[in-house]
Amino acid sequence: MPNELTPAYVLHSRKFGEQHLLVDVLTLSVGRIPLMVRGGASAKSTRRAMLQPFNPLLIAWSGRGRIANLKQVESRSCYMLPRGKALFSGFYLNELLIRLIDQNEPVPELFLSYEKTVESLGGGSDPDLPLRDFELELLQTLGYGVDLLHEGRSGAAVSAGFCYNYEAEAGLKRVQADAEFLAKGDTLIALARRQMLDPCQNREARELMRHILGFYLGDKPLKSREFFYTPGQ
Amino acid sequence: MTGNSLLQQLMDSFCCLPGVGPKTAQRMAFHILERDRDGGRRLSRLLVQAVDNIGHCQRCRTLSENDLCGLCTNEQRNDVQLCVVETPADVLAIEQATDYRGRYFVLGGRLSPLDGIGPREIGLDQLAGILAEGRVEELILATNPTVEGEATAQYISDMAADKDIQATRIAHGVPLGGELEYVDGGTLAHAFVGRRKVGI
Repeated sequence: MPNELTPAYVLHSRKFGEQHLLVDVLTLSVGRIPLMVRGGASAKSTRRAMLQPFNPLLIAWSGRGRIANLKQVESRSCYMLPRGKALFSGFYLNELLIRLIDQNEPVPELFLSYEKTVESLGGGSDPDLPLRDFELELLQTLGYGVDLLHEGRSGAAVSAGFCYNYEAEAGLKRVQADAEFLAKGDTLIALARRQMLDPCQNREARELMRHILGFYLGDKPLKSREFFYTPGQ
Repeated sequence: MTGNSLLQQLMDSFCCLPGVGPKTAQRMAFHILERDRDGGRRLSRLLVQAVDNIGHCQRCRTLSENDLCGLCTNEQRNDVQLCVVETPADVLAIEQATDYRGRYFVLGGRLSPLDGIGPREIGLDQLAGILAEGRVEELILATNPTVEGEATAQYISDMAADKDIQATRIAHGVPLGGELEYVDGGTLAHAFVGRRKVGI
């Protein structure tokens, strides 16, 4: 398997010594793996330009042990680097994957969802829905799938007219109209069907996913959230 | 010659330099001891002085033995342009290769969330202070053409837009004297997107 070219994305790379690169890649066939790129950090390296995050690649590697060596890298399609805020959303995806996905665990569906999200970030279309879709797919992969259409404890169907909170590891819970809530029923139903959301629903969906993911991320906040520059900071 | 002799310690110490392995370290040590003891003395004296006295310029953060570096105190340079670079080595590279006569700001790194480097760690609060003074009219973003460098440029250009300052990004693309056939796809795509009008 490792000797055949497999679709991959670089999530992060850092220098190892003077000349080498240690890259964290997400592959279609074996999930997230660390790879050593010998000579990858030298001034003459041609691979370094290719081994940038969000670049769709085909890679092959060799060697046994914990860290294999990158053997071959090819470009898979046109490199569309996300621009502006979408670039920071891209870092957010990578940070989520590195924080939550274990190495050497194949996650092909999540890979495809990641690819779709990166493409839409690069294409300049509205990133909100692909981001939510990726977050839901990520939770599903981790085994913490979110049921957006039913309440966690009672199993009652979510209704568009009511407001809901989310309890970690239990699920959605209906709250009184005047109490604090995370999302309205219509947002949850639209999100479950992956329909277009209006700005208010988008905000609710973002907060809901942030709340759910926050539980699994623990105390250490995501660094990429600091990147969204707010004027007057 | 083995163990912890002074010679061995000297050779081990040379290994802290980039690109110097045990063999090169050995050559350096023998060269100093057998051929150039005066040079060695001068080197050791200067090393101590440099390490003790060279800090960072309080304004542009490049390496300097004074509170303000030579570039910041030079009155011949214009205050209207400010070039943002990642490292002090980048300042030297631009100084040697271009006729740029404005000021600099050295970040000392680039934004990289996965390495835990955020806006505070690269002195962007200090840069915001310089922009708030109101003298800068053009902010030239000369961070490296990596994804992290792009993110850094994007973040700083948002800061500049907030203060109504024009931000420009250095062009990147096919190297001078290069051939399109041998340029990697990413660079070529970037060069293509960044094409500009020629002629009138």
